[in-house]
Amino acid sequence: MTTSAHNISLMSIDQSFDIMDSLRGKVSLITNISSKLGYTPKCSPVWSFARTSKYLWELQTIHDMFKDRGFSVVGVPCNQFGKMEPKENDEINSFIKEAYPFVTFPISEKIEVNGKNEHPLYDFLKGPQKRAYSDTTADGSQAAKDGQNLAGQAIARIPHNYEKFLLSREGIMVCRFNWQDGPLDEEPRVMGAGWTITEAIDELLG
Amino acid sequence: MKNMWKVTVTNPLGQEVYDLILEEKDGLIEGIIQEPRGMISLSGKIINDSIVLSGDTEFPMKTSVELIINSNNLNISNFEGLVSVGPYVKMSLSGARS
Repeated sequence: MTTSAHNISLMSIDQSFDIMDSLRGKVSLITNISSKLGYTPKCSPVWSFARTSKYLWELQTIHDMFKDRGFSVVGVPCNQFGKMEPKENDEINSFIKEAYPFVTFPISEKIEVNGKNEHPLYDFLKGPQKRAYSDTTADGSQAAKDGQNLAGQAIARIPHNYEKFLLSREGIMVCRFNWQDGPLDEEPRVMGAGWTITEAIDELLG
Repeated sequence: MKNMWKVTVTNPLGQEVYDLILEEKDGLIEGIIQEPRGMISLSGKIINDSIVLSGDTEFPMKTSVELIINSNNLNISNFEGLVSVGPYVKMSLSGARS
């Protein structure tokens, strides 16, 4: 198995370049995204749009904050959480440009981050930090029925949109942040070894 | 005197209709925007040719909300405007007196 995420190919959403290869020498934050967060018939389109905008805006803010020091956020569209990203790459790309024009950080092709079709990048990212807690909340979920979440096992799974992995300049996974850890949070919340996301990025950038 | 409108907020994910209730008191404008999941209190004033209102909400997310109505008074039947949620999103707004 490779020792660097930079050796695993992940194409940009327009298929024009290999994002992971382009990150060599940079610190990066990889996060699975949905461009239509919470967009189900029961959800308010206004608040779904506001929530998605907030998540993407915060990611863009830290991308801008650190990019001159050799940092990049990477957004990875995924349709495995509430089927919130059902469209194809070109449609997702167009929608992000229209709805969230402030986003300039790279967006990858749509991939799966859990299950039998999990992209090799996520196999790499989850590797050193397999979660070892009872995943009973997944028991009745559609995701569990689809084989994404195997309850009660020590598994490595992405539980939600906006799980974040911080990679070193060498492509080594250093820190993982739960979706509840906001990019601009001033106090650490769930994971991340007691660091906030910005503290961890700053530390890695040196 | 309370003024009531049905306001439609539009963004790339769709539209939603809310009730907007405003009244003028001592040069200031106060009111609420009511939606199925809750209510947001608003306050503001007329600035040049716009009514500018702001408020905060905790649900469904903790954020600030700002409404800009393209009018310099409340005596209007229909209006256009903008609604901003935090610093990250602006959506178009239209209102019709109810």
